[in-house]
Amino acid sequence: MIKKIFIISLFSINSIFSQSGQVFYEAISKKFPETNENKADAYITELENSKILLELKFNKTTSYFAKTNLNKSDDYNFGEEALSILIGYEELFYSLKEKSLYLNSDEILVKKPSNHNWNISSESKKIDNYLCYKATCTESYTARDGKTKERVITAWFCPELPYSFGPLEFNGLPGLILELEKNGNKVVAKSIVLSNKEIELKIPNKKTITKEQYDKKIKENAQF
Amino acid sequence: MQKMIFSAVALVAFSFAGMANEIEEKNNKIVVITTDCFSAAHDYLNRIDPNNELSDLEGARIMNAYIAGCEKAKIKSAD
Repeated sequence: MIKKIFIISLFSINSIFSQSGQVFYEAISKKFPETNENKADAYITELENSKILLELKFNKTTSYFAKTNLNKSDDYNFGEEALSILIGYEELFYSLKEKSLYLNSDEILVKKPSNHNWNISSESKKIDNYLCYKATCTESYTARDGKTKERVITAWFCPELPYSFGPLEFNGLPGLILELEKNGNKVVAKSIVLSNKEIELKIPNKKTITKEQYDKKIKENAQF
Repeated sequence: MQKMIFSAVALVAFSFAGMANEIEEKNNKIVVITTDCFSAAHDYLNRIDPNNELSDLEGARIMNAYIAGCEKAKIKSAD
């Protein structure tokens, strides 16, 4: 553990050189095994083959996470939409100082705290030549059957890139998150660009509500 | 006798005329196939999440997304 902290501190010196950065991620669906009861059909195959391109921009204080323009299509793609939901995609701003996330939704901002209890392990692997360490956190939620369950989120972060940002709503590790796994689906960094120039990222000035108020609105607007 | 023959011919002629209209109407009938998008969405959700590991909100959003795609497909096929 002490060795880990020393290594992380050593690589933190890099932070004085790069002010901003941009990471392109790709979201990939898990595979659904075919069983006698559940025959694969076109919709499941479409989901398995779906990929979404995502982008994280960050500077010293703020990050912004969204789908890239490359995904935009005039036709409705259910596979991509389903994958977005399964990975928990939201267009997000993150304030490092406030440790708060801001979900950018139409005319409103949804504010929620970002406080993940990460467990950092010594398990490591290389992602695109960057040495990354494994961290996990758990989140409690109400499942479809009404039971309270816990799911494990796995993140691989790189201390060599000492920016406490990451894809989706996950951040707060002593290094940039380059890979994330949630519900068996993965979000993997494909390219990283660091810059000495500051990327300007402003949290929009809109009406702000809490996550609880937002979730209630979603459920009320469901068709069933 | 001639009157009988004339009546029979007239009767047959009018019958054919009536049937012709029926045939025309049958050919113009539109056959509508309805898809129960809600049931299909429910079935899909159970297939991708057989162990109820998704949250209630995720499940609701998947259902909404499936129904939206299903309704769009119905409109497209009707055009």
